[in-house]
Amino acid sequence: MRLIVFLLAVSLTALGQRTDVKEKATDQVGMRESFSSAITTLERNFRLDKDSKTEEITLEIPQDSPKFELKVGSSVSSGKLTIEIYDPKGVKQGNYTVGLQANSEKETTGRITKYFKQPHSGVWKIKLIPEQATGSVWSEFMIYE
Amino acid sequence: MPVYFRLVFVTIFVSICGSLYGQNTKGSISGKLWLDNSWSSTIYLSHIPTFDDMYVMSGEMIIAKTIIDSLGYFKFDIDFLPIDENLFRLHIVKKDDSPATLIIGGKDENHLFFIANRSSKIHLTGKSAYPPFKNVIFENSIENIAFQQITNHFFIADSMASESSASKRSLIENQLEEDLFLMADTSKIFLVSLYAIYKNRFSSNYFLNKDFYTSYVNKWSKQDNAYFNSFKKQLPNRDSGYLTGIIAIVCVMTVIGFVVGKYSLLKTNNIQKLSVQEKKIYKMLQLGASNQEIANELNIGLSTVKSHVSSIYSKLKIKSRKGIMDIK
Repeated sequence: MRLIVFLLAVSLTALGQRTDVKEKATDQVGMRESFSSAITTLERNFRLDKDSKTEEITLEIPQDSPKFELKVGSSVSSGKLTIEIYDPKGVKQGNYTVGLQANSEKETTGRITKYFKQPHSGVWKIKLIPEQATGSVWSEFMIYE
Repeated sequence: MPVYFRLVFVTIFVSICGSLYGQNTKGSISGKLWLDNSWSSTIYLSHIPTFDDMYVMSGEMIIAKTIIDSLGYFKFDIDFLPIDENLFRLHIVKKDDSPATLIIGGKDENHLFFIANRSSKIHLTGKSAYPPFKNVIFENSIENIAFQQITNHFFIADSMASESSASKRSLIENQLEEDLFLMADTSKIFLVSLYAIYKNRFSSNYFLNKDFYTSYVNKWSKQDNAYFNSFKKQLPNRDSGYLTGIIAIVCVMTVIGFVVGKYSLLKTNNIQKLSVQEKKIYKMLQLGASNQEIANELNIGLSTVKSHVSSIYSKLKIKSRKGIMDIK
């Protein structure tokens, strides 16, 4: 009996791990971090396939960071995608929406570039809000220390 | 003067007046931009249905496009636009980009907002190559000169804030907020005024300036358009709290009434389960009779009455005489 319970538990754990890996493989196609002496560069890329699940990129900006620069771009071939940028105080610092009807031939593209000198320290959030969106999102963040 | 001379004179007069009238009512948007060859030679005109859609890009929003010539000149005829003033966006795209591309911030920012109606005659001149719409100057359009002043003022203050220390930034942001309130309050052009409100991030400072927004909504109450309606929808409704409270009370009362009603109905149905003698005693109990009075009236012993009363309590699922008297 104990052996059966043990095997069941092992199987469920393995199944859960496989599911996680699959989600990461489809949603987040690229993720890179690089460090120089004073700049941390982060890249996050996503691919959307009729997605409607909100994703959130969070970035910790340290105290006394002299500059924070972000670039977010997206291209949508169907559906709608909204990008919103929030500072640690919850104030929206930028947003855009790109959308396209399903029968349209051409894609819709949006790009936002922002930089902040002496940015508020704390957690910055970039929300990706897709509505049945198919397309891709690419982003680059440069945190100066 | 012969009659045919008079006829010719009148015809010419009418034609001149007609052509002058036609010239005055036929609107256009023209301009000159400084563009290098990385940009496509097409410029797009989009209708922006509400201020909340300023940063929405969709192919369906593009209502016209025209060619920018090699010297940077372009012109749209806009006699198909609505009679009332609306918000519009001009944008250009890089050669490799889709026509429906919106670039916000940075040297490639590719768009410009303005207000117009079908008879507007707007001419604008770009002053820089990167970003192409930065510091654009509008000619002969009071509305758009005021509109652009808000854009420029916001841009300058925002840039200064970005470059400043946290404490200085706070001062600049406070000053910007005051300036935008003043612009919103003093502008006689509704869309210009509302633009200042939107630039002031009204949703985050509403509760601090509730009186201002209340008087602002009253001031422009005759405006009935998508821009104002969309704005009003986002204002927290002061009455909604009371309304929600009233609805909640009504719901609670309804539930209580329903439960009490159902309870009473249950009791009423249970009365049918009483025997003939028990029904007589039940009626007397409802009138407030004591056990002795019931015994005397029905000519039965006191212990019998007590037994019947106990049985009535049990069948009606109550514990006292008060419970009997509460049954309607």
